[in-house]
Amino acid sequence: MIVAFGGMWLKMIQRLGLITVFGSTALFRSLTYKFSLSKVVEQIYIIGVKTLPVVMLISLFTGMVLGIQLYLTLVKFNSEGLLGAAIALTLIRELGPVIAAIMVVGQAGSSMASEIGIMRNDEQIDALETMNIDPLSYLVGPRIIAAMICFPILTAVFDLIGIFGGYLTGVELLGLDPGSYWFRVETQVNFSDVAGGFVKAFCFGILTTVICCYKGFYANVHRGFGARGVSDATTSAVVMSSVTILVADYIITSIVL
Amino acid sequence: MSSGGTETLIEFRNVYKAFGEKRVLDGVDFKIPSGKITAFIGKSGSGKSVLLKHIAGLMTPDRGEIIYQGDSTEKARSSFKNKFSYMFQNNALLDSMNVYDNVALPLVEEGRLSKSEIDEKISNLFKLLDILDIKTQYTSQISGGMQKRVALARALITDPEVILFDEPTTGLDPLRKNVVINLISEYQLKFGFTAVIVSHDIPDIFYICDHVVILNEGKIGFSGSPLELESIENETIKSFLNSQEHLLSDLMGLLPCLEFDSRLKLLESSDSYYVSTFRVDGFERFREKVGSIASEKLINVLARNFSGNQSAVNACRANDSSIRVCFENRDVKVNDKIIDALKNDSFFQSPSFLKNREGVSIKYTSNKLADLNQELAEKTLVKF
Repeated sequence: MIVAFGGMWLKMIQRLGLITVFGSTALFRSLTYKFSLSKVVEQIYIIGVKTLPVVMLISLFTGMVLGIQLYLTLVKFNSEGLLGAAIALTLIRELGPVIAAIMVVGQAGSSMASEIGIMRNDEQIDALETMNIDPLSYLVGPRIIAAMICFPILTAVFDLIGIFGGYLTGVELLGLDPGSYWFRVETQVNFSDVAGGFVKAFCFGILTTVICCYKGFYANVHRGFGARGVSDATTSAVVMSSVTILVADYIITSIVL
Repeated sequence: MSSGGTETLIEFRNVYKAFGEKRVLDGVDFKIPSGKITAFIGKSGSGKSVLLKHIAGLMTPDRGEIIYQGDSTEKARSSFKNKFSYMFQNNALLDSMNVYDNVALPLVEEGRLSKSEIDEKISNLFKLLDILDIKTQYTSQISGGMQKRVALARALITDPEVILFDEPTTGLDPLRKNVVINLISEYQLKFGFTAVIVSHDIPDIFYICDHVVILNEGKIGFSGSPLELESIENETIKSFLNSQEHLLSDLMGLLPCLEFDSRLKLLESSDSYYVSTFRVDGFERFREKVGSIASEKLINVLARNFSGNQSAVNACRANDSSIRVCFENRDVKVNDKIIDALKNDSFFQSPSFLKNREGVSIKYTSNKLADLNQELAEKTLVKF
């Protein structure tokens, strides 16, 4: 049992190493060899623009729920005037980067894993290699760069709409003074809070994109060829990315705070 | 470093490759001559595509060496990567791109030619391959045969030094198949590249290739010129090469000749067997008049009537116009029932036969199995 447990850890560390090498190689090659702006823009459209409606919708309801829950909690201590600050800080520091990242993984990450997995399955990646086109810099690099740009922007959108959602429930529905709400937001949120949220979003972008691309790229190695291999790789990519977001969130929060 | 007076481009030395328990390449040794067409043939699943992927560097051997122009180092393999293109068995076209972009991709990524030069090059090739009108369509919108031609265009577009073709004609109609085979041959002569082709198109592929490698159960069964292949006596290879003939024989319920002969050897000790040869006299002329399909039906009639007879032990197609049948216990000449059944076959009442039957007759000889080498005079069974 100890041997099996040790083996499992060793395998996990080895896989982490492989993913790190995969991601850093892809990023390095796409920046140094053949940087293609058009491919990055295409990926910004897929990761950023296509995910934007979902992120906006989720952020609005997250802010509205936070508005109700925090108002009902704060009112017990006669501190409802702090609602704006509580919502803004919760969203900017934690919920914004985390929920936005999970939404992007569900929308764009799964599509990355399945698209690259199908390409592997149909020997399209082998075809790229035989055409002397590096599959890492062609397929993975632009996605990582696009994620590095899109995740912080989507997080900012999430934060803004979430704060507005909190305003709708806290002020419009529950009757809190609007001046008090916006005043607290303005005075309690520091640059370091915003920067910390962006750092998280930036890191989540890199981590999740590398994981999703890795899972698709090696869909056949871990799960075998065929539709089952691609579907398993996609599921595994989404689950592993979501877990990684939460673990990384804790680590970054510990460091930043 | 030469193979039959020609420089060797790639050499496999004792290469092994297994997938789990299944050993696909089992100590493979061969050389691919430079500037020639080399054909790999063998049964499905015999490891031909795996071998091609080893040449391309998409797979690495478990054991053994692959030597590129006399050098087995990683550097030699990397430099070889810039010189070849690969046509995949399943085409491996990028389904997120249209036909034009698929073919243009290697040139665009290479960045050596201008857009107008790429356009011109692609248009010329598309005209040749008759795919100009589908250039804006996505690969999922075109037929399998068209996808094959697009894959061929992508392989040819970079003017590589070596092209690896994995079953380039599978799924094509006979006309397009000939076009592709001719195109490979024509381009090879024009540009002098080395072509390595995995194919099942026997014998067509022999007409264009200079070197043949036969893969059998993970080992090299033969490596040499098509002419050398013709004179080889290996039964497994012969049976594979005659596989089309076998298919025809199987459909008629006949055995391959080699198998027929080996079964006769098992019966030699017995004195109660006869071997009869039934020949269609005037077969060639009949075939010229009615075509090969109708003339094959005539042989089919013989097979149906004689090998399907209760006293027949087994039968084979001796050559184009005759079959051999082994009978047990009785000589065919005394069996009027067989002759009557043959005469009444519906084929002999068909208009195409009645119109062209002049000069056609069925002749036979019948030997005791023990006196098989004795030459007997042919007798006429039926004259039409």
